[in-house]
Amino acid sequence: MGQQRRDIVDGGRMSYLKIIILVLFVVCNLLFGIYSPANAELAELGIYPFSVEPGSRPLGLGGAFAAIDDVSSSFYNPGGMAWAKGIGFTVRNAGNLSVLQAYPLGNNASLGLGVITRKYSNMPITGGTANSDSTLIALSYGSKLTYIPFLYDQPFFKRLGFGITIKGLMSQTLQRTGQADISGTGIEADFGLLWKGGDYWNVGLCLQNGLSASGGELGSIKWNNGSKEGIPARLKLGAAIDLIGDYSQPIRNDEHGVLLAAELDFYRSSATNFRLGGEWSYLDQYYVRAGVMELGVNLGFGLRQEDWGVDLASYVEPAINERSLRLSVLYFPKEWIVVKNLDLPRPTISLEDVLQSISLQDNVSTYDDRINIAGKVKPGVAIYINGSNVAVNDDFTFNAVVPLRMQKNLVLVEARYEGESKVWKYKVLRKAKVTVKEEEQIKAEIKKAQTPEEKEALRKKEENIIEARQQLESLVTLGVIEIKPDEQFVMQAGITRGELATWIVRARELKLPLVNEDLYKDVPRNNPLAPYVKAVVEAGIMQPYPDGTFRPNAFISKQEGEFIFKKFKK
Amino acid sequence: MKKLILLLLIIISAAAFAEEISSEQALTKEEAIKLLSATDFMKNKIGQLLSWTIGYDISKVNKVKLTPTINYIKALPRKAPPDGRTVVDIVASVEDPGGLGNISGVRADLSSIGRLANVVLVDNGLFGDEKAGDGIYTLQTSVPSRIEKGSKEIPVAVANKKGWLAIGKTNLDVAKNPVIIEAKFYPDEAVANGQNIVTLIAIVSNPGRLEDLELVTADLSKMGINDPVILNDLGIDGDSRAGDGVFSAQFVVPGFVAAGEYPIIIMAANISSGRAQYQTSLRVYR
Repeated sequence: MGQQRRDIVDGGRMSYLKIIILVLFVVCNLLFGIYSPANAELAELGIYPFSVEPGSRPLGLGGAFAAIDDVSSSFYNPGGMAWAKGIGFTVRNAGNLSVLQAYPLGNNASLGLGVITRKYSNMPITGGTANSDSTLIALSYGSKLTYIPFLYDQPFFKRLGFGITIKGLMSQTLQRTGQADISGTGIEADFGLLWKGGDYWNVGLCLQNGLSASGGELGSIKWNNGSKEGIPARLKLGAAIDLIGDYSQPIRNDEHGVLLAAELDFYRSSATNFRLGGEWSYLDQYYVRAGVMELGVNLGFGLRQEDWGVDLASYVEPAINERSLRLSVLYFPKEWIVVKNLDLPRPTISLEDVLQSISLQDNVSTYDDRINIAGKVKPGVAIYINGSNVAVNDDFTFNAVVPLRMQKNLVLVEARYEGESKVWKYKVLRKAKVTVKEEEQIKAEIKKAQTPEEKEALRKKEENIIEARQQLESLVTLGVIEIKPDEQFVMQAGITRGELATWIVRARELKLPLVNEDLYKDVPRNNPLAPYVKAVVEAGIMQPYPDGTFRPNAFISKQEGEFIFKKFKK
Repeated sequence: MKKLILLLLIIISAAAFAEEISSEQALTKEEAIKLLSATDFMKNKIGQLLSWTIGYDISKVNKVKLTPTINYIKALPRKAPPDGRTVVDIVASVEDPGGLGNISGVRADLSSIGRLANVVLVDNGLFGDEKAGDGIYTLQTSVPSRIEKGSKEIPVAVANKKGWLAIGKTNLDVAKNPVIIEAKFYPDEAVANGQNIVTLIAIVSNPGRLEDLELVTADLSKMGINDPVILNDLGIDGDSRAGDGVFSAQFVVPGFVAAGEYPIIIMAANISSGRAQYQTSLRVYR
C-alpha cells in the first residue's frame, strides 16, 4: 500500500514535470526562432550586458549554477530564489562591481535586488580602441507555487521553485575610435525553475533573456542613434548533486562534502555549451572549487563562518579574454525572516525559525546515560529526535528523554513543517563516571584541615588525583578498563599481572585468541584471564616466568611495569 | 664444614635476594594508568575521543526504539450516520518499549467529524472500554448532523512519559443511506401457480447500527402484486438468522402472472431518513 501510494505520488511528480518541461520547450523554441541580432554593436565586442554572471562561487563552479540556489540565483536561475537568502558584494576591479541581495519574505519566497556595473577600457578594435560602461539593475522574485490553495500540500510543488528576474540596463555607453559615442538602455527578463527532486539532487531550467522574442522595446538594447540591438537568449538546463555529505547524501562523511554540478546552455545561433563544476568542502567551512566553462578552467576558494563568507574565483573574463580574479564577500543575516499571516492554509513560517528554543547545546559532555531535551516550536511543527517523533504539548513545548551510548553521540533534531524539514545536529560525548576512593578521602581531609597551608597542600594533592581520575575515565570510556557499577576505584592499590594483561589487550585492541589447552601451571584454559594472558605473551609485551607460571594474581613491580610499557610502545 | 659454609652462603644469598624484592614497591593502578595514557597509541585514542570535529558521523545516532507502537486503530462501526446519536467507538491498541505503564496518553483528533481536536481515549474499563489496562484504548463519540457525507480521517496520537509520540489514523465513513449489497431469489425462477414459495434474500448494510434500519421492502407491482413485500432480519418467515444483515421474505407468484422477466425493486430505509434502492429481476414461467 505504501509503495503503491509512493508510486502514485512519484507518478504525479513526473506528470507535472513532463508538462512543465514540454511547455518550456515549446516556449523556448518559439523564442529562439525569433531572435535575430540585427545590429550587434556590443555583441561584436563580445559584450553581453544582460548575460552577466556575478558571484565568485558560481564562477568557481564553472558557471554550472542553474541547479543551485544561492544569493546569486537571480542571475543564474531565478527559480533558486525560493530558497535564497543573503547579501553578496563582488568585485573584480573598481569598475566591475556587483551587489546582490536575496531577501526572504517567508512563505518560501525571496525578493532579489541586484546592481551590477561593468567597465571595459581600451578594447582593441579595427582602427583604434573601444570603451564600454554599463550599469544593470535587476529585480527578482522567487517562490513556490504552494501559495495556490490547491497546490499547497502537493509534494511536487513543495520541491519546485520558480522565479523571474527583470533586468534593466540603465546606462550602456560605448565609445569607439573614429565613431560617434552612443548610449543605450534596455529591459530583459530571465525565467527559471528549480526542482529539488531529492534530498541531495536538484534540476534547474532557466530561460535567460526571454523577452528577446517580443521584437519590440522589450528584449533589446535601444541606442540613442535610433538603432536597436538584439539580445541573445539562452536556455540553461542544469543538474546538481550533493554526492558526499554528513546526513542525507548518498556517500556519508562527517567532515567532507562534495557537490557536483553540470549545465547545458542552448543557443539558437551558436553551438551548445557544456559547463561542469565541483565543490569540495571541509567542515562546511572551507571550500575548494573547480569548473570548466567556455573559455577554460576556473578555480575557486571559499570560506564560511556562521553568517558570513568569502569566495574567490579565478576565471577567464569573456569580453577581454584575460584571466581575472573575482572576490565576493557574503553576509547571511539570521533575522531576515518576514512572516505573513495569510488566510490560505499554506506555510507561513520559515524552517530556519521553527525551533524557538531547545535546551540541548552542541559539544556537550555528560556522565549520564540519557539526556533530557526540552524546547519549544512554532504551531504546526513536528519534532523528530534521532528519527523518532516527539510529543509536542498544547503549549508547543516538548520534553524528550534521549538515551546516550557510551562515547560519541550525534543527536539529530529535525523539525518538519508542511512537508519540509530542517535538521540540527548536536554532538554529545558520554563519558564513564568513576568514583575514586582517594578523591573522596582528600575531600574529607580538606574539610577537616585547620590551616590554609594545610588546605593548600591537600588541594594540590586533590588536583593530581582529579587528573588521574580523568585519565581513568577516558580509559574506562574507551573500554580499556572495566569498572563495575558502584565500584570505588582505588588508585593506590597495586595492579596484578592478569589485570594489566586485560588493560593492554583492550588498549592495543589485540585480538583475543582461542585457548584450547592450559597455558601455564597457574593459568588453566578455563581461567577467564587465559585469552588475555595468551594475547599479551604472543604479542611479546609480557612474559611468563621460567618456572612455567604466569602468576596472574601477583602484583607488578614498578621496574616490571616500566619494562612492560616499553614493550607496549613498540 | 664445607656443607655448612655452603648452606650459610645459600641462606645469605636468599636473604639478600628477598631484601631486594621487598624493597621494590608494587606498581600502583594510578601509575599504570599514567604509563598507559602516556603512550602515543593511547594519547591518539583519547585525543580522538575528546575531539569534537571527528567521529560524529551518522553511525553515532542512537536509533534505539523510543516511541510507542500503535498496533491498530479502528472505528466501530466503520460507517456511521450523521445523526448525533449513533455511538462510534474509536479503539486503539498500543504498546510501549517501557511497558504500558509508560504510556502517558492516547488522544484522537475528531475535528473531521465536528468534535474536539484533542479527545482522550481511555483504558480504564469505562466509557466503552472493555477491559482496563489491556493496552486497548477507547473513546465513544457520534457524528453531528451538520457533518457532510464521506470518509473522515481520525488521527490518533500516543505519547509516552519520556516524551515520544506515535501517530496513526483510521477512517470513518459518514454516510446516511443504507446500502443493499446484493439481492437474490431462491429458486432463481418462479412458477406462476400461486403455490410454489419464492424466497427473496437481500444483504443490507446500514451506517451505524443494523437495528436502525426501519424497513426493507420489495416492490412486485410489475407482476401485478400491489402490496409491497416486507423483508425481515428476525430469523422468521424464511430468514435463517436474526440480526445478520441478511433480510428475507417469502411469497408466491399468483397464477395470473404471465411468463416473462419482471423487474423487482428492493428498498431500504433507516431511522436517519436514509434510503437505498436495488433493482433485480425475477423470471416467471408457467
